[in-house]
Amino acid sequence: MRFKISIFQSKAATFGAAIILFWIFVALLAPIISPYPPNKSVGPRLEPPSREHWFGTDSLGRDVMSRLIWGTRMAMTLAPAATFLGVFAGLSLGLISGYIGGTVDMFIMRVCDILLSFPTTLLYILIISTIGPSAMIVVISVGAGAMPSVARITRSLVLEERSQDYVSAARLRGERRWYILLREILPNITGPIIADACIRVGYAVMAIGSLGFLGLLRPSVPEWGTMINEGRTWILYRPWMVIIPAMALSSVVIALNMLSDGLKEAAQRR
Amino acid sequence: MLRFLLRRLAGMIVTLFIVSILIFVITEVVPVDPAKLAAGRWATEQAVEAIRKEFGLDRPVYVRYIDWISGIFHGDFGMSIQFHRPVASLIAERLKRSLILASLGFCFMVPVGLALGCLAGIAEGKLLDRILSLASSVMVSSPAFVAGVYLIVVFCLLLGWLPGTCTPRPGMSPLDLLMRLILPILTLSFDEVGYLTRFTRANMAEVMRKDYIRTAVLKGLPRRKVIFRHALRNTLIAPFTAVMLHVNWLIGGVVVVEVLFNYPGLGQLALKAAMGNDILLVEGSTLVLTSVAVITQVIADIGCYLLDPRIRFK
Repeated sequence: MRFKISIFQSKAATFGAAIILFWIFVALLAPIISPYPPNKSVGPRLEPPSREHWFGTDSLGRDVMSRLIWGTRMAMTLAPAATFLGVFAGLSLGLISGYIGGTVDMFIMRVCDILLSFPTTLLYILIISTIGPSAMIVVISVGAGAMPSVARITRSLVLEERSQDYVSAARLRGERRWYILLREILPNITGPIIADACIRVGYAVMAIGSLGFLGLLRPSVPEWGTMINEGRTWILYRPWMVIIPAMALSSVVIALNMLSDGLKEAAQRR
Repeated sequence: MLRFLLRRLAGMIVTLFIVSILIFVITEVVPVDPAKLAAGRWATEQAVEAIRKEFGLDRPVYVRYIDWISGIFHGDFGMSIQFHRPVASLIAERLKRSLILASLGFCFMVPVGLALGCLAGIAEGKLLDRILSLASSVMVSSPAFVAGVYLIVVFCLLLGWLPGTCTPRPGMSPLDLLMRLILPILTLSFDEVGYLTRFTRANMAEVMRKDYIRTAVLKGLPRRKVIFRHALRNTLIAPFTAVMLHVNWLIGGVVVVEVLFNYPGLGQLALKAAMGNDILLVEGSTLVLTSVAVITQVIADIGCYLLDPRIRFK
């Protein structure tokens, strides 16, 4: 509980949390607050911002604001899901690797090294172009991209904790390995892991956006990166079509970074 | 020394081998029928069968892999379906352009990021530090496609200083080409400069609090000497190592920048190939791009080993 309160001692973290909450509400209320359906042509093409269309219309006459609002759902669902998957897998591997050590550790770390040397954007292009851009494939590939570095961070945290007195005490009490790992070590490393996961949600938002930008996601699904891709031909004549989704994306990532910095400080203060 | 080098090189070869298997599996084994994918959605059964025969897709997977990889060792990457040209010549032509873009970006981002980070770290808590820290946190939060949008709008639309695309035309003077590459280079380095600034700042601020810095100040050395002789060396090693490990991020950025500015490099080619289901071209271009990342990282590793005596004597 004290941990939760101490996050809000930092102004930046509170501000970040407020921005994230704002976008979560936008995503939840999309059907109510969006003025037009996101995929229907509702006006003349390439209309500049006006009273009817606050952010103008795109090349197919669709309302940019409605697409932006519906696009929030992609960023707010897929990115956390991908991060959760990546952190869960990475955390499990890192815990095993750090605590068991030996050949298992070496094997897991070598696999992580190889995955880390693979440029993630290429991995996404390969997977999505061959298997298809379903939400699940996007979540799995972005999650897989995050997994190796989470595993590495977890491992180094476990190695640090393993030499602490409370672990030796638990061992002397005759606790089982799994108990020590999950009930003694894990609670002590969750702080930094959560702070790291927060930045990773930002990375995932950026990764999903760049998939959209590269034209790998379905064009019928409103998504910020896809909107930038669709608008970039007109960037010099109709800049609002790209500037607005770009700013929305930046605001989410900046807010997550602020929140993460606050969480890190809170974890250190404890 | 020799043992270290051999270990690194062996590691590199194993990594490249596994990467090649990974690429092959994702493109040829995971999709149910690569021949159908290559033929397109509306192809007839005969057309699919013909492609299957032509590319030898009716043979077992391991035979195909060995065939593919041994071709690559002879410089034969196969033919591209889309361009009706050998993949190897397509890649060679475009790799050069991508390497120019990436290396210019790298030469820009590293000194700028390190310098800004040092400035902020020395001025910890002062106004300059606040401004630089804010700017760098905005920069790390802007992936290449977002940063590119901001930069194009500011420099092309509002100021009108720079062109918004950089397709090189034959007969263009190198100076003209360089002018056209300024925005792509800025875009490519945007988030990495932010990252480097943040990292270097944290390191510098920590070093400035160390006892040996206090000793240097108290023994009456001028501030400039303290910073250049004592602080700088210890600050720069870690961020420099970190940026070397970011080469694979840089490659992702290269793909995005090439698409955004319509620069005909290898990243753009890989994307086109993937969208057109041009299997051999996808495999070849991703393998070459990944090899560039892996090899650069190994070279960087060896460089750090030579530069930092602490690793050498461990």
